[in-house]
Amino acid sequence: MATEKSEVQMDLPDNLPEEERALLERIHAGELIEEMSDLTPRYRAVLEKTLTIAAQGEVTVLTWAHTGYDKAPDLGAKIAISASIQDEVGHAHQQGMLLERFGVSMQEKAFNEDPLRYISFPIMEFPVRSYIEFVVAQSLLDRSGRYTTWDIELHCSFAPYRRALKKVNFEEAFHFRHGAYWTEYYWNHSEETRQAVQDAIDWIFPWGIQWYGRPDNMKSMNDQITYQVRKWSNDTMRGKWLQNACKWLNRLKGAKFPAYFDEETSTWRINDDHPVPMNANNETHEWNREVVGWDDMIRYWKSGGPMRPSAYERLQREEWGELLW
Amino acid sequence: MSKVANTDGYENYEVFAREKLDGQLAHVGCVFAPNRELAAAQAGLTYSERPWVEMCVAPASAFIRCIGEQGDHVLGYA
Repeated sequence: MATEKSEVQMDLPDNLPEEERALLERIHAGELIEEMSDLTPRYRAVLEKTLTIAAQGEVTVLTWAHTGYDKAPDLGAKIAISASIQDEVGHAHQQGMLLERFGVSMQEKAFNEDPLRYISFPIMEFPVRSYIEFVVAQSLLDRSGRYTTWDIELHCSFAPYRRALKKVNFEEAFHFRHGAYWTEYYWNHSEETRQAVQDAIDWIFPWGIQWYGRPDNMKSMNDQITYQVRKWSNDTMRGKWLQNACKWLNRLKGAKFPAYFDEETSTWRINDDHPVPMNANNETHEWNREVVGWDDMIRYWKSGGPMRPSAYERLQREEWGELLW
Repeated sequence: MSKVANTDGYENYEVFAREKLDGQLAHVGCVFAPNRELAAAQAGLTYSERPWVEMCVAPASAFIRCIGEQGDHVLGYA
């Protein structure tokens, strides 16, 4: 199976083992890799790491989403949260099944991982405060997550990973459209719900900006890009998300968000006075609106939000149900 | 106590589904289950992204590869 020949020029270290160089030549010639036996140690390692981060990350969406149950205003909203959780379990399944081919147990990663070492975003470790916050998060953050998985479906050099994400991306698109529909509904419903949507945008939008991590110029050599596990860099994905999210938010007449449309370049840009990156306060559930270093932000991400480690400890005890209905 | 399941006796099943009556029965994914009945149940829950008109599962070991490299893996982790 072959895809378009890569336009990326290979700039590889001289001491790269021959088998790695040979595989990279196949990949950069446009070949899709199918068989596990074709994986070189370095290619295998970056695929395994990418899958582990993705699969564990999917699990942390459901421990976040379930905190919205007792805030859902009606049965339909509870069903929507249930459906979202079912989908996220399915996404963990897709990537977990593939991860098993690498000799990694998804059961272990979900149920025996040290809760302090779970890979996630801090936003997934802040409890949902209202159903409006839930749908605004869907509209903005399922949108950001989809660029990550969509990139892999479109461009990954490992064919099984492309296929595993078809279902995932279909559902992620459904999630952010569901979130957008209900965000618009609440924006237009009443003054009270409009203010709640604005409050949720104030909280959620900055997470979208920071979703993709460090800027490209602060990253070292990236095997994900070299081996074409993904094609879009952090800045590329951030740019795509920003244009798409702002274009949609602009439809909510009067909504405020920290970006402006630059007429000269016809692109949305983050406001100059918006702190990037910044950290959130786990106690007040608000942003500390001051710029921190990217290293500080990554340290904060690793330490996690206020539901770490309790959310994962609860998952691992399989304590589910009392808040469902 | 560890919650890691004992998976002795489990096997991979391939999942196929049809979206329209005049459409193809297509491979949509795979599940890992202890028996046929649970494989069917797990497939229905996991691959619920479209309003299928037909879905079926079969043990991955039942498939004989005609084209493509021989291997011990399932059909393709769709």
